[in-house]
Parts: sequence; C-alpha cells; structure tokens
Amino acid sequence: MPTETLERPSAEYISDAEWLASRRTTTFPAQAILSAEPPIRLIGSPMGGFILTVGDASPPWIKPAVRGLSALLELPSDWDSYGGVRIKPEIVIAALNLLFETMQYDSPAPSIVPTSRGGIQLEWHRNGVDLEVEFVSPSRVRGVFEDRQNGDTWDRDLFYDLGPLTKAIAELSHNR
Amino acid sequence: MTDVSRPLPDFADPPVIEVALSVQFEAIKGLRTPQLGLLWSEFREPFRRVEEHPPLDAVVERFGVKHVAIRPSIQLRMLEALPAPRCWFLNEAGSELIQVQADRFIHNWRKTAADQQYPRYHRLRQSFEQELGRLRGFLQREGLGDLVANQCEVTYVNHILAGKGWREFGELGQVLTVCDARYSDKFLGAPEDVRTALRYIIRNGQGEPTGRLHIVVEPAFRLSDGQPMLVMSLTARNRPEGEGVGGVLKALDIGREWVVRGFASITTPAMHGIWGRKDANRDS
Amino acid sequence: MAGPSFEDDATIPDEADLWRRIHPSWVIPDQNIGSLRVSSAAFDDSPDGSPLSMLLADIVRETGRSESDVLVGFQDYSLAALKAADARTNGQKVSPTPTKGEPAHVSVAGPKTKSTKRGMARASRWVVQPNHV
Repeated sequence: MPTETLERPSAEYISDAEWLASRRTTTFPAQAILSAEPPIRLIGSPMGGFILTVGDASPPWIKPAVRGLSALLELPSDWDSYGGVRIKPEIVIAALNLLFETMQYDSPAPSIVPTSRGGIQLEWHRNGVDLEVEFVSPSRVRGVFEDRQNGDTWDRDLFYDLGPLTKAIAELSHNR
Repeated sequence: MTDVSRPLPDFADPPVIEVALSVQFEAIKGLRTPQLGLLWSEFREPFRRVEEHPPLDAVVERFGVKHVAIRPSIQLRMLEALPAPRCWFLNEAGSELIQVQADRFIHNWRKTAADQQYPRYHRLRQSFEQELGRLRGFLQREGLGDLVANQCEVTYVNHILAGKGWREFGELGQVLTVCDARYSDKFLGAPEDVRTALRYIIRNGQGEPTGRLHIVVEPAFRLSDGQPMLVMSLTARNRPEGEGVGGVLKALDIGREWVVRGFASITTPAMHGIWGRKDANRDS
Repeated sequence: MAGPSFEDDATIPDEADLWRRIHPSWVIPDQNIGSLRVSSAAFDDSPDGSPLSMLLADIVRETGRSESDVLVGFQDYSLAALKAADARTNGQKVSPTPTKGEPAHVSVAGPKTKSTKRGMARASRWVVQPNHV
C-alpha cells in the first residue's frame, strides 16, 4: 500500500530508494519442496476467464458447484421470461470464493439459483435446516437460516462475518 | 477496546514518513483508462503529474473464516479484459498524491524532504473528503453510478533509525514492548534480526469485530552508510460505519485512533521520550 | 420508488389460484420435505421494478386454456400455484393488470423481503411438475 520508490535527494531523511530491506537469510522452505499436491489449481486462461483443475483429492462439492455457477453465466437476457438480466460474472466469483472459505470437505453442494436481478442464491435444505445465501452484488450478501428442529433462526449480512454461515454449513453437513 | 475519554497519544517528532487514507468500493466497471484520464482533469490543480501502476488487489477483513486449505492458492478472478490501471495523480513535490482505480480511492502524504513536517491527520482527512466528493461528482456526471464502500483503511509508515534508543536489531525490545527477549535458558543470545507481524481485532461498542489493525516491523538498512533502521507499518482496515461518505469518514477516524493508540501501545516509553510524547494523561 | 400504485382487488377471493411460470433453474431439491420445490428466488419483482407477475387461474380457464397451454413456448418450464390468501398473508396486494396478450395477468405488489419470498415459495405447490431432476 505505501507508494513505491521514487528518486529523491536525501539529507537525514531517508527516501524509499535509500533503504534496503534485510534479506540475509531464507527462513522458510519454498512451497515447491513440500510434498502435498494442492487438490485444486487455478490458472488464468490466455483467452480470458479462468481454468480450474480439480484433482482426485479435492472436495466432492467443487465440481457440481463450479458446474452450476458456470451454467448461470450462459443464461441470456430475459432468461426467466420476466425480464431477468444476465448473471454478473463478479458475483459468480464472489459466490465461489465464499464457498471456498466456508465449506468443509464433506459439505453438500448447494443448489445454485439465479435471481432475476442478475444475482445468485445458494441454498441448502436438508437435515432439518434451511439455509439461503443471496448475492445481490459481490459485497451485498445476505443469509437466512432456519433450524426446523430447534427453532433457531437468523437473517443477516454475510459479507464481513462468515462465522454464522460456517457454523450453519457444519450443521447441515452432518446427520443429526 | 478504545477509551475515547483518553486523549490520543501525541508526539512532537513522530517517525512517520507516510500516511495513506483509503476507501475500497465495489468495482465501477465503467471507470477504465479513458475515464481515469478525464478524471485527472478534476484533480490537475495541484496534482499535475500522473503515473500508471498495476491495480491493487481488493482486500476485505473477514471473520469466522476457517483456515483450512481447501481454497486455491490463487485468488479467483475473471479476466474478461485487461485490468484498468491504478492512476497516481501527484503534486509537483511528490509529497501528496491521489491513487484511483476501479475499486479504490487513496490519498497519500509522504515525507519528501528532511525538514518536512507531518501535516496531521485532520488536514489529510479534509483533503480526502474533498477529493472523494469530486470523484463522486465525476462519477455522477459520467453516469457511472455512486460508490458502494466496503472497506476503509488508514496506514502509517514509520522509519525508526538506529542510534536513538537502540543500536542493533537484536535490541528490538528497546523499541517494541512485545519483543522483550526472554529465553527459557541461556542457549540463545541476541538474534541477528527480527521481523514481526501482529494483528489485532477492532471491535465496536457492542464487542462485534469490525476490522483489524495490522502491525509489521521489518529490519532495513540505510544504503548510504549501512545504518540499521526499522520500518514499522500500521494499517487499520475496517468496514464503513454507516452509509455514504459519512460512514467512510467515521471508519477512517476509528482506524486512525487504532493506529495512533496502537503505535503508542506497542512502542516503549523510552522511545516515546525520544519522539517527544506530549499528551498528559498517558498510561505509565 | 415512484411509479404506478397497485391496489388489492377484493373481488379476487382468497382461495383463487395464482400461477407463476417457473424457470428450470428455480427448481430445487428440498430433502426436508423429500421433493423438488420452488426457490424463493422465483417470487421476486422484475428487474425493471414492476411487481411480481402471475396469472389468475380462473381467467386462464375462462379463456379456454389449460395449465399446459400457459407453458407453450416455454420449454422445460414448470408451473406453480399460490393462493391469493398466501400472497396477502405475506404482505402483498393482488391487483389485476391485464395486458393485450394476456387477460389473466395480475401483479402481486408489495415489499419483497427474503421472508416474504420464502413464505410464498413455501406456500406454493406444483400445477405442472418439473420434468427434470
């Protein structure tokens, strides 16, 4: 965040160009020598967009989630016959990033539903739990949770605090 | 948690060399290179120089995220077109600049001469507010929408030269309260150097987390004479405190308070004396 | 938001069926009830701000059409029904807004909170089942 170097005359004041961070030793092993292969690789495609490769060790929910989200990008204008607008790609990305941050390995894949306004809704209805997460924009995310067994409910913003969502996903991931 | 009844720590000669006030917002798709060029005309007086730089990644302070490596190591993003640049609009001295990209607006002050005084937060805040207003006016006139802010950031960078209060990197405990080198036995001596990175959660009056204070201290050397120095950066990043520009400014005020109180809290009283601490009601 | 105001038409009885065409992406599995149902996303206003569009089943039938006729030209769509009472219970006004091409058109107008949309989704039932999994 602070600005990069510029050429400036120095007196007692030290400009950015005049100090050198200490790099005398390497303290941590490079990632390359670690033995675990990451289960998911992501690279930018030269044609634009991205390529996500998913290995055998990746969570089972990844493929259906990515497939479902990618399909939404194909929906044309007026896709719902009520004037529905095209789904915004930045919302697809936000939804996938949110899943990466909150899902467990064995969590069930969500139903992935487009909204007429170009947003996305992720839904789970199982194990007595109803959970819906709606993306109106990448940073306007709202979730609704209801536990039919114990009556717990919440309806809240989910852009900054993912704790309730992580907990809810954990609850619906396991049979009770 | 802050105690707003206590005055903020105040230093006559703080080691600050750069301050940045920043607001991050939902990306404005239409704010691309041509529009940034038009925008420069809004700021050309006094920011007469312009530079282009790669855009900064968006950063959000989130809570409740589990830290298990299911996610890919690369942040997912769509590459539909070349990303628009981050433009710098600089004044002639290079001491103040505005940085603009599709999802960020930043005002920097930096020390460009030895005798230059830190202009103080309130003046920088006033400039930021005026400039942000001009950006919003531009966006409205060009039909590009309004800002939907999601993060506010205050950064202070300090250069702490050796020779006053400390001499070697192993004496970091003379500068930082959290680096008191106490060992279980006599096996290890003074370290060759120390890097420190700390994070603190910023909470509101209801105890809810709203952001983080990041403190990074790195060893460095002055090239001309090899004199050791410490580069200490404090960044408070938090969510807007309400809608609109008012919510952004309030968040910046909170961030600044955390930076200033955090700086005083993490540095030693001996260094406070060197920097000329002035506030009367400081904790002993 | 300024625009036409929609008044509830009391001549539409509470037990009247309102139909909504359901895009295939709005059909979701609900293991809690053991079947497919309609997502709450299906019960929102249009992006241009016009209220939720539905069809008054009675008028559809009066014009000699059936449930299937309503879906002609809408491949893979299904049809869901909601009682007018369920819309009203969720804070909506049911207002006839016939068009040249559709005499049965009604507008279901009112704030579409998440709670409202979920309430209407839960109250809905299939008239023409989805033909996909």
